[in-house]
Amino acid sequence: MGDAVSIYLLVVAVGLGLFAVAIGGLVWLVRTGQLEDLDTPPLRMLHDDCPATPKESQHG
Amino acid sequence: MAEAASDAAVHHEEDHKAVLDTFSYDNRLPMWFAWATIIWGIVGMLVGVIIAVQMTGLGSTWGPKVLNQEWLGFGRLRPLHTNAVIFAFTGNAIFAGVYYALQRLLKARLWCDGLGWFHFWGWQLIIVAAAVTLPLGISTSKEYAELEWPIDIAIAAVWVAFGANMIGTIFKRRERHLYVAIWFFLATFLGIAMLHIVNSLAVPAGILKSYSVFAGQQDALVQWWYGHNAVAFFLTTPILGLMYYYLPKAAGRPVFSYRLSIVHFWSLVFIYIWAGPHHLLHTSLPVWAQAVGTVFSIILWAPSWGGMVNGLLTLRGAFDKVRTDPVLKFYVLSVTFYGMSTFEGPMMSLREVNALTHNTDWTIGHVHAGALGWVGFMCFGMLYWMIPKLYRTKLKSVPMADLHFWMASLGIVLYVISMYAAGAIQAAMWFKFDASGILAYPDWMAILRELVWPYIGRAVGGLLYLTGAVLCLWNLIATAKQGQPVEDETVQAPPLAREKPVHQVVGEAAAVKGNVFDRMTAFHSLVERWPFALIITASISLVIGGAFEIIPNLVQGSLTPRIETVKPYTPLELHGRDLYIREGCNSCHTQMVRTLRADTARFGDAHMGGVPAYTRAGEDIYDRPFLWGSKRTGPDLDREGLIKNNLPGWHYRHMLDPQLTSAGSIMPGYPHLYDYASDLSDLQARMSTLAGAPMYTPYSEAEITNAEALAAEQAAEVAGRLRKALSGNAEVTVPDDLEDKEIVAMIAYLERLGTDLTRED
Ligand code: HEC
Repeated sequence: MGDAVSIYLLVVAVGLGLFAVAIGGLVWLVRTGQLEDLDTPPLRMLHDDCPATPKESQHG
Repeated sequence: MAEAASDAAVHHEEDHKAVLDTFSYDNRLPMWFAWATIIWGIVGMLVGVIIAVQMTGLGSTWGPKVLNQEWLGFGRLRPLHTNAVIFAFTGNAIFAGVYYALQRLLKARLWCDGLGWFHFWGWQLIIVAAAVTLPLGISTSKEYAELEWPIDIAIAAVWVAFGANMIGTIFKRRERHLYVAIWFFLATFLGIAMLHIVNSLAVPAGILKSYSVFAGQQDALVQWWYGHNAVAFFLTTPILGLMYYYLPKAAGRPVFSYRLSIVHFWSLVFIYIWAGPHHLLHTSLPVWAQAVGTVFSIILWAPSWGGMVNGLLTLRGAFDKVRTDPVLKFYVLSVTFYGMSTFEGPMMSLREVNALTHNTDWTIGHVHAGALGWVGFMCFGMLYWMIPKLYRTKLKSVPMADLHFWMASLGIVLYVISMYAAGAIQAAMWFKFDASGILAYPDWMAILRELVWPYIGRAVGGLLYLTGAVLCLWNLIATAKQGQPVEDETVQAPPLAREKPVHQVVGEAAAVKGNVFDRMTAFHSLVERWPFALIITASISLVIGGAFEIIPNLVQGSLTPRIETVKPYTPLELHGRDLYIREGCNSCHTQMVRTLRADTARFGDAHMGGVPAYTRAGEDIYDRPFLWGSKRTGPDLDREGLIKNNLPGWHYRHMLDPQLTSAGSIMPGYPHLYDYASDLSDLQARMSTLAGAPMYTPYSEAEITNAEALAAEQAAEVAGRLRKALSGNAEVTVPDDLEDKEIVAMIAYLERLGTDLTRED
């Protein structure tokens, strides 16, 4: 049975490793301002891309 | 400098401040995934209809027995059905949806075309491998993780390709903000990667056979930690990602509340992972772990409904469009089903409710409300929207899509109501005691007979849903034919404002003077530049939740009370057990007598010499994998050895043709077990795998080297008893070489079940 335990310890070790890296992740999320503008992204995603057709560039 | 200038000149002859990048989206990959979605969807649903028809008794109680064949047995086809609809239908839909939306949300072509095609063909090959191996009985028996280890490795490789392509695209994005749908997609990648790897941990015992490194109760916990979170990260988060992209797109209006969608995301990621034990209520899992599962399941209700409201209110003021646009119709019903299922789930996690619904067909109704309603409708809506776009045309037939919508809706309703009826009947009869405290319906067949009409209703509902999907295929093909595929869609977008190069940031940070803390914070800006970090953030929550669920069991594992009389299976029984796994008997039979009187009274109390019959954790320590099952179409078998051992020859007649012992049974016959000789050539290898690291099943050296002889010895004993019991029985014939046949190993295993606790030696 003690051997099954070592499997769990492995899982925990992997988990704790990820945990450490993750702290950096949280910092990144807030500090890069991903959460600063929550008003325009839902609107911007609605716009279709400007197609790069010759016609389009004439207008431009 | 000169180069950059001439670049700009190419794109913009006239003077422009913003220089636009010209690039193209890869439409071919989502296109192919979309076609794979509908084709595999039809295959998976067809298999579902076939097994639903089997459950009505066709092939066993009525009609020709064509379905009673080795490769068409319910136990082998059910995993094929579940794997096909989850990983082939839903999986391909997710990939189509993600690859289409991701490029547009990030304003970038997919990172690597080659990787995309590796993903596409790899995934289709895995599906084909599943479609071949599962009917052949090559299965681990762990629900939704039945595929054997070589395929598991392939899945991991292809999954990593998917994640790498997604993350690579994020790195080269032209849009700084990662829209919330992308978070859902990333969580999907991470969650499934982790779940798949942990739950698939097994030691190969041959090219197509492996044993789970976890045993019994621990395996059950890992499996349902996986099973529940596969629902979370394969059937919920990616579909929510699709919802947050395709619903606003089709409605032409922004999501009702972007803030709510972010709250929705984080609360799901934090809460879902803890809810797994709600699949194991009233079992030998420690009660506190069960309580954790219940509590978190109930909490899940709140964010789920937040998401549902968010989806439905996105249509505020656009409901007139729902009347005319089939795409929106599908979405509205999908989100409604999401609300329904995420209410029902928490309710079913309440101990009292769960006691009644667990193992019944109610659960099957619940999962189909989610799969056909929430997932299926979202996928169909997306296909109806995406295919016309990819072929730059309009949907060929709106009335046909409407017809599909109504057929599918009617199909779901029929399906779900039938299953609720069946579940209610089962619960009412399983739990009914008469006035003197004795089971009112001790005869399983009496209960089974009440289920015929619900099962017919289910088959009709499924058939309607399948027919709708066929209409969808026709409509999509006609749409594609009238349009022109846009394989590479050339577009323009401004490049992402460049950040300071890394070396400059490092230099600046290194130049900072002050105490250690100041210097360390200076390096923060390095961390900030790390687009990877979001993924890792999601990992924390996944890992913390996952670890917390598993660590306590780690301790428990070593503390699982040892029961002196519990011994490993004999070589022959082990072989029988592997046959049980091959045939997928666990798709109709549980091996878990719960700590409920209705369970113990029905499944063994009378044979236990005064102690209650519920399954003890210590009884399962050699069970790799565990075989607790999740549905009782047939009775629980955990104490079968005690229940049927006084009826010599019963199993022999029953397994050959259940009608001989149990007229009207919908269990298929297993005549092939009577034809095939047991293949014991790899028995030694199997036993030494179990005896080796990290499992250390206490088989002695002598037992392993003599495995075949020991098996033959026990087989002769079992066969001798069978011969004696069946001599003069006109219904069945007993072959001369009975001791070599697989049926003998199977019966040896069935006779062993549940006997350890009370055995004398
Ligand atoms: C389609 C679902 C289904 C599958 C698959 C199935 N069974 Fe059954 N089983 C039943 C039903 C229903 C009954 C109750 C009626 C009867 O006795 O046949 C039953 C009864 C039994 C019983 C008698 C239990 C008792 O105590 O009365 C045994 C033993 C059994 N099954 C073994 C197996 C084995 C072994 C397999 C795999 C090779 C298997 N079953 C596969 C549905 C199934």
